Amino acid sequence: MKRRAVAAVTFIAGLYYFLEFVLPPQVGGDFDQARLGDPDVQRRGNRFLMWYVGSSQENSSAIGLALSDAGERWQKWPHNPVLRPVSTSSFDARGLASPSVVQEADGSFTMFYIGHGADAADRVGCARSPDGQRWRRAGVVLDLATSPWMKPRLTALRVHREASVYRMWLAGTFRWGSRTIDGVSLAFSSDGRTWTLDPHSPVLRPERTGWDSFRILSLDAERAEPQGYRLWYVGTHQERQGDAWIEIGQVGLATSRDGVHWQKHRRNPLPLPRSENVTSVGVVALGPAEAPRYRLFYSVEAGKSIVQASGNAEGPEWTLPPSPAVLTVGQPGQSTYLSDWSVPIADFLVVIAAMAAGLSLYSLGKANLAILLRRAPGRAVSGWDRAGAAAFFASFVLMAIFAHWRQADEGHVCRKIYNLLFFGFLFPFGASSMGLLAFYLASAAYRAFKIKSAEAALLIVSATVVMLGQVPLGQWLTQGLPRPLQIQTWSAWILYIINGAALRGVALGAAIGALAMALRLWLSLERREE
Amino acid sequence: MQHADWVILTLIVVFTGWILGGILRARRGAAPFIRRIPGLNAIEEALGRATEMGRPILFSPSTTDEKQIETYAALKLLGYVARAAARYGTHLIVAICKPTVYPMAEEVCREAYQEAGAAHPISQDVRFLSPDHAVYSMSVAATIEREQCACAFFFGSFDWTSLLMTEPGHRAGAIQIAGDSQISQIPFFIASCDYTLIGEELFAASAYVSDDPTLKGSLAAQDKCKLLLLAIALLGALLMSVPAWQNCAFVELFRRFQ
Repeated sequence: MKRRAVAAVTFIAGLYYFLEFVLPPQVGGDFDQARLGDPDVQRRGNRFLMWYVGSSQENSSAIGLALSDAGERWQKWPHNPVLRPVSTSSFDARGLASPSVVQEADGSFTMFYIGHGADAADRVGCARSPDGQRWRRAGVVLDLATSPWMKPRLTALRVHREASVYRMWLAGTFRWGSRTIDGVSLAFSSDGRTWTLDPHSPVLRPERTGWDSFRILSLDAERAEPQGYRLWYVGTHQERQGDAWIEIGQVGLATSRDGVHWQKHRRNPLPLPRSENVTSVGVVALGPAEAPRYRLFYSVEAGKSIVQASGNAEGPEWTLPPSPAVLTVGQPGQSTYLSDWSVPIADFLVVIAAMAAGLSLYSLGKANLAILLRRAPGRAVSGWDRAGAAAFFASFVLMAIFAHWRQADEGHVCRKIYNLLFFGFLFPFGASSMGLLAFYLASAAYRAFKIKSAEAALLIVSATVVMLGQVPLGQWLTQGLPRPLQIQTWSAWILYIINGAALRGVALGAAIGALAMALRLWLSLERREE
Repeated sequence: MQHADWVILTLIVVFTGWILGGILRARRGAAPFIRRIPGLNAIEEALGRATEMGRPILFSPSTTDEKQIETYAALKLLGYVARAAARYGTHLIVAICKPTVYPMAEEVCREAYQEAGAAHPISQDVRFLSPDHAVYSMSVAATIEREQCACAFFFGSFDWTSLLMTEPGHRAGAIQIAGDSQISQIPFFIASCDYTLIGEELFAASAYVSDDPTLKGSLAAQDKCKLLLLAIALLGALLMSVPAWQNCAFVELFRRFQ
């Protein structure tokens, strides 16, 4: 009876988790039901177009279009999104960001955007359209994933076309040659397909301290008359709120005569209304005769809406219209209810884990008490054993008491004691264990690596090549040879091609074995061993 | 949480069908032959050695919690070792890292000992040591040295602290058998242990030691699943090698396995 009950509960629990994996949390709903941002606003005569990024509950982002006749009331295009991730393509499989549309000489449109790849690298992609509404993707135009150890993290881009010169301002962090570039970079192209990074990059950096000390999250660039450029950007800094650090964004302005050398405005950050935490910005410059000169579109409330403010670049007054929110998030889909229960179930599992933790602590305390009182059956207890048991109780009690002050002010005496126990004892203990590992590694390798067979000889030779290829000594030894014969090339080939294939084979087999075991557990087909 | 797309769902359905089909076929009498795995053969040898020497056995069932499937594979093997230890009257020490695994390991040992008719409290010794991996590994090493264990088993999923347990065990003269489905610690186990189960051999161990046709049937079906993946990999490599076929629909489908 007990076994049948356990089997039934196991089956129901497994069925729940299997269906939660198979089914999405929602069916239907708008593509921008969770967040929207990254507006690229452009004026075509009296008409305004806004390409923006919308995200769903599953954090997959796509690009949509909104239209307005006078820039006041906006309507989302009914056939949104205009560009979405293609599931089998790797460069934008995890989502799209920061669209920037330019109009070509023949009247067609080209959109440049950031694609978040399945390999966790961001790349710049391109799409083309005859009318700004129907788009066809044209692949990657700028791939900054040159280093296997650092994936590019891009946050925003803007592209301008003047005659046959394309300029791209690109915000993010990536590895370029021997440098790590963090900030806004500049790239040039003559056809929009092949780009060259300006050697002055980054042309704008986050400051060391202040409102834009963390990163540059969004940007928009516009041509300034009579010459030069203006860059509107969202700079962020981090603030501590309780146990967590949160990122706060504000809008700043920078000017440049050549697009390369920038001066930040002395009144940064701009005193925009409702700008407690801005995540993206887009700007449209009205005609010279119109006032105010600029309309700034920025996303607020954690991306729940895009608001519009009007003002002049040099002046402090920015005003909101009567209805400042020009776009808000879309309608959510129909819930499949499975994900709605995942949090209560997780809470229930936490309660069970807490009960198990209490049981384990009781067992540990009982075992150490038996040692301390010399009542451990069948076991000789030495003085060191009793000292260890006493140390267990002392450290348990001390940590349980002083952990209450772990978030107190640094000067509080109890906080100092907690820091001593945690950072002064426990951390160095872990570090010492890791140091001990180095010696154990050497002794195990010395004992195990003996050339007793042809396979062992092959192992030793390949290990030597791989190790030498990782260190400057090995690179120095073969620096005069052609690149294909240098030791780091051989080392990378052994590590990533030969070894990589073997590791994938083992991992595939283990994954299928895990699937089979999970099936047997779920259906209670595992029997007791004989 | 990630959700399946149609490619993954299709593979899961196919693999599940083959595994369940293999189980049903084996139950009807067509149990397949499973080759001998040296690491699993050595378990009996190690248990016998510990009994002859009158020294205890140490079993470490993974440093991960109940959310990892490797923990269940390790607990299956714990049941087998506990039953054998009960039969031979050998002291078994089970070192637990995560609190949520402690009641599961205790229940497995209690059932094994009760069924063998050996409920002596000394014989089964399930000890929760510490959830901190560094402290746990040092405690296991100290236990092996202090208790003079004749053999030590490390089955499940381990991290950088694996060598901190196995190297002192080797110095103490214990026979060590390890099994980890994840590949990161396999080299360290191979260098410091006497026998190592690599990858899926850990999951196959429960089928191997139980001699149950159900489990043997699923083991054979797993090989069919691997053959399908191998065929997809070979076909994809062939198509990617020919420029004219590099952008065909099947290659687009195949690209998700990058």
